[in-house]
Amino acid sequence: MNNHSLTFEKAYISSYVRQLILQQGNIQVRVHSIFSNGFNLKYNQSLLFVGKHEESLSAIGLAINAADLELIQSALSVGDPIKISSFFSSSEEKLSLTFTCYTRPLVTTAIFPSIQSMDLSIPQVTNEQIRKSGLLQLLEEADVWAQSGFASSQLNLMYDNFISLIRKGSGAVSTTSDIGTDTGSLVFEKAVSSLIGAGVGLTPSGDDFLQGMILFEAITGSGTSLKNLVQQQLQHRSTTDVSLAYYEALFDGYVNAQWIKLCTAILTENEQQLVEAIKKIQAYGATSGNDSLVGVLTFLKQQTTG
Amino acid sequence: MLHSVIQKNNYQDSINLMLLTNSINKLDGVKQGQVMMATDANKDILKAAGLFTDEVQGAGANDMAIVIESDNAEVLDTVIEEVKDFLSNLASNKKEGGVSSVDNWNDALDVMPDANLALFSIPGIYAAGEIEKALDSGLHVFSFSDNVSLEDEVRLKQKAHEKGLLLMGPDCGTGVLSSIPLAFTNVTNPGNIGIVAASGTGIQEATTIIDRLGGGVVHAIGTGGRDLKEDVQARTMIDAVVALEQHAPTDVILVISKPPAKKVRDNVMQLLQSLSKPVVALFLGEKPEAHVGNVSLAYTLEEAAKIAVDLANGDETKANYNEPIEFVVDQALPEGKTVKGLYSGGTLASEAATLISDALGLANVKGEEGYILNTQGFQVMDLGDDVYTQGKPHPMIDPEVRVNKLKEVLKDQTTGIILVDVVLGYGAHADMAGALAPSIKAALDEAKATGRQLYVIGSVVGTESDPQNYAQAVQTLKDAGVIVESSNARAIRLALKLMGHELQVADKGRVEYTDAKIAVPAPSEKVLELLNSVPRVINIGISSFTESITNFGGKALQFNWRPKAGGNQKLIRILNELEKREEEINAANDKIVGRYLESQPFLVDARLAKEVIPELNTGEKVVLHAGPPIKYENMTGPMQGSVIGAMLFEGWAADQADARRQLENNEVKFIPCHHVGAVGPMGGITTANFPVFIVENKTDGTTGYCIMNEGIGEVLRFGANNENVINRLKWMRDVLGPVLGQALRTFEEGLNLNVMIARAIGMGDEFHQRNIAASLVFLKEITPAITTLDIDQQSKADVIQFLANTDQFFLNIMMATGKAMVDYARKVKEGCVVTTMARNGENFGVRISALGDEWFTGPVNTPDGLYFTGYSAELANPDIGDSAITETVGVGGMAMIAAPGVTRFVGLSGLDDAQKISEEMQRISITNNPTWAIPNWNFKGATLGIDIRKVVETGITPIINTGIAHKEAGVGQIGAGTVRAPLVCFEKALVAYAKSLGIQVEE
Repeated sequence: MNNHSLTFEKAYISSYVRQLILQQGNIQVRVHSIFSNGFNLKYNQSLLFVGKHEESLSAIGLAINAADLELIQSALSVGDPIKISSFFSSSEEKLSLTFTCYTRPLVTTAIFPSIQSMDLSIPQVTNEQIRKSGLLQLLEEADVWAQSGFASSQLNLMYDNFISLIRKGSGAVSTTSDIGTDTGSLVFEKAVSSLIGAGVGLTPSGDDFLQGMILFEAITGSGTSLKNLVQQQLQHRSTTDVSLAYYEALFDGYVNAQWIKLCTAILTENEQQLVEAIKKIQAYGATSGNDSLVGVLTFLKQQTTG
Repeated sequence: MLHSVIQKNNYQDSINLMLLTNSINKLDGVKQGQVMMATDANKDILKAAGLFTDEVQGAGANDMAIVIESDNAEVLDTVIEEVKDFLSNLASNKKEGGVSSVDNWNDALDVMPDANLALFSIPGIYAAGEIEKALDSGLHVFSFSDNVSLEDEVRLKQKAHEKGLLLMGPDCGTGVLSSIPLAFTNVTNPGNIGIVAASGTGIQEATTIIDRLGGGVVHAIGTGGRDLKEDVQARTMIDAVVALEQHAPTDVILVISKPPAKKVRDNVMQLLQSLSKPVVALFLGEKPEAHVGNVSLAYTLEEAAKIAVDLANGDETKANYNEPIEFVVDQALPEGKTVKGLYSGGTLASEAATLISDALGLANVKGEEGYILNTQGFQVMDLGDDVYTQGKPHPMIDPEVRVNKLKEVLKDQTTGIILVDVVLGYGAHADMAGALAPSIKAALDEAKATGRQLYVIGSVVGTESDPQNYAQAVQTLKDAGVIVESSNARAIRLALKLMGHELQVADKGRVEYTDAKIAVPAPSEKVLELLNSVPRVINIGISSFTESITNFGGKALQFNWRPKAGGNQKLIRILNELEKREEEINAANDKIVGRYLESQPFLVDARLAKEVIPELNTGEKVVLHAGPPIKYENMTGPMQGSVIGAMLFEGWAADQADARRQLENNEVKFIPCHHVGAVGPMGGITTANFPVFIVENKTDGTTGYCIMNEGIGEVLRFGANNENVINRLKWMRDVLGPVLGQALRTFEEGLNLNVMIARAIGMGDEFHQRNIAASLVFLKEITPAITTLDIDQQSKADVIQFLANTDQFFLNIMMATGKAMVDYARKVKEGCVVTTMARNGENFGVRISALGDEWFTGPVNTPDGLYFTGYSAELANPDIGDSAITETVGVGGMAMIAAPGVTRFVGLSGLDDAQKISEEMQRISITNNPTWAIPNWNFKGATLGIDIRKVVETGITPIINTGIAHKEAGVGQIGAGTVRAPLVCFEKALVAYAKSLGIQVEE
């Protein structure tokens, strides 16, 4: 009958979230949404995602094992306040976290005595390395388009429109790196804007698509044109809290663990790992993973055709 | 014209009755009405209301009085139906709520052994004693009950402290434990703020503002309004604060106090300054100029809540929380206009009085009772004060007081602004805004029509999670023309702005606390357990308080409490004194009950009464009768008829007239059967030549005698005395008695009655109303012996046939058995176990173990039951007979579960009703008799040993199964049913017993 106190020895935290927590010390959050694979916590305008399995660690989150996650989630309801208290031992380089969940009728305390940080900063990969890895071909073989949200007629039109807008500006905007030009910006602004928040689900397909493109813009060091444009358009266009949180992490240079694995596979030219990483990404959400990969595919095609 | 109905022993809590009163007052044809328990205090209220009737005068504290004023007497039927519906709805609601209920402490603690909190909402006069019991049982206490004396509060809080328990209250209207709302409370978000406050609307205002700001509350512990008085020394506040300091989920502690004693305040402040957690404190009546050390000091409830939320979010306190009032005031109200505050919340009223006084420079004058402020036309009223609510529901439940007050203050032409609060949450009216809106709108419309400048300003204390709809309440008030502010403080500030006196609150900085800090005392482990666990609540009083507890994950058990001894203060004091000697008394009672248990009753013989009862063998005309002593002239018809019959039988009188003449000339001597070792059914009339059974208690040879059963129909015991009756008696004298005596004497030891009773109880007898199985068992045992006798065959055949025809034959054997048992026990003159219950048609008499032969009597009740065709209750004789000896030893009505069919005599039916009755009887009994195990009761033994303390404390009196005699002599039995022993006999016995122990009893 007494307050629940749960201790979780094995836990992982994104270096992005770790940084935020270390800056703030203690933070007050609320349960934003709960899913079978984890739950989101709202902190000011940001989200933190607590999920399961280290390999699926989110850029904006923590990961614990599946049974532990179930234990915590069973006590939570949307709206419950949670206090996250942190303690960092600089001598041991050890971060410990305590989640005090103000659940009714019992307060539930989840203690992570030693939480392992994973560097989820976006790695650098050259276009040449990507070409050599055969990523473009593998993505086409993985049939990402057919399994994406863009296969639906409505989004298909939107995608076609986006591509045609690029093509209309052909010569001016043949690749995303041309977005910075005046003409390109005007054309592309409209195209990007239409995709923000487009589609159903927690992370609309349009956002996932754009994030795939922005990620590869960053990975390949192809500038920040698309990123800047999306950042600018997000001032006017609304999308879901979850998408916003992932945009935010991406803009700050962080990405989910699975993308890091994909990059590692490219760098190590390990086709098997690459295929595996693509499969894992494809498994995100209903269409999210495939939507992002369509963005990657589109980016790569643009690079190639450009 | 007044019409009243008294429902005996129907105890309901006051809130239910107030709601019921509301409900009946809405019925067509009712001019005014009231439903109350008929306590002395309530009788005064009824007198004052012009609703006092003779029926009410005659009612007792455990009786529910329904009184209405109506021109139409038939309206009363509608009212009674309404009462029935209302109360049965309560019962069904309870059932639907899934909360089990009990009606005594033992059951409560048995059903919820892990209970950690007792929530009281019982009349204050009884609260202290019950709170003490809860504390002694290791329970924390939340006392919604008020009117507990300061002396009791100090004593109980000290006791709670010593036991490591928390006493929240008394007069704790509101509370939150583990985010579960208790009593009159809003539903707020869970969170990291812990509150310790005087309680009531102070907590409600603070918690709801916190909720609306996005914060949350884990605990809100009410201390009661006097905790910071010199006498109480902030006992509860200190114990609660030190526990919150150690309660990990609490990050910020908010303390709200009514104006404290200076020294106590300083002590509390020293403690708060010594805590590691940030503290926000509001001492009502103080206008702090700076925060001090660890403690942020607030001026209003709103400010306190806002600071708490900032601190809870890890933010710094702001310099000023006095956000501007947006309402544009083009022209202030002219000089001479006044503000009237009509509050349902006491703390909100206090806040209004403080702010208005401060802003207008008024002395904070309270004046007459019921006013928080009353000076120069400015009035702030706490309409929840007793002065307004006596006999009426609280204004949070019922709009009536406020609606009336609204009309009253409008008559004062200086009134320019009316302040109101609407409090939502559990316990509050389902739509108070809607209930007040029409009156407010009418007032504003009239003011507009007459060119009067009038504003009604309000605030709603509530959250979106409350059972009522916060947004809807706000909108309803706005639609009625009320200017709704988001807090009480803002509503008051707007009022002041309209008066041209905008309240200025200077920015606050933080100064150091310069006095010494203290080592924070270690909290009680039990209090920490309370704060870190799901509340497991025994709810004593208002049943609806269980709703919020169970709705939000707590555990609740409903304790349908009734005042001990019907609220009789003299008896309560005696019971309390006896409780102090409980061990000694229980040991004495165990001796008596032990004697019952070790009894070995054997049916050994049957003889003429004069052969075994010397008093009947003196040559005088001596008549034994049932019950306590009675004069011939006071005997009811059946008993007189029996006496005459006996005289005719004995040949003392030539005819009835002769018998009457002799009786009127006092030529016949009367002795109660019980005084000579005998018992007799109904009239109990026994004379020299009646054959009697002799039961010997082999334990020490004590005997018990009883005449033989004559069968049914026209029989002497019911007062019949015609020739047939006399002839049967002669046959019994000449044949039945001698044959049975002779047969019984053939058994070496007699017949073992414990064995026969044990067999028959398993076959569905309870030995008062139903004896058919036992009679057959007797027939089975005795017939072989009869057949061996050297007597004529006709006599044998007649006797056996008579026994076979007489279903109730064993009753008289059972009675003699009971007598042999109780007279054995009565040889020990200790304890307060009932050793005799008997009725003579005039009085019911009780004797108890310690007081030997002394009778404690009270007027008998008339049985209720089923009547033979052609007869009805109006023709029934009052209760009569010694047959209640069966109940005295635990059978008869006490063992109703053994014979469920008997319940049908009183309109009940079946096993469940029978079990309820036996369970009820168990509550006034000391133990069970395993020798007489009842299969229907999972082989639990019949109840044994009626303890007068239990009878008086619970108001449960033994239920007697009985035959019903016609009230006129000679007619005989007209029905059968049950009757209750009158409580007064047990009360008198208790008083005498207390005196015998040297306990001082006030007369």
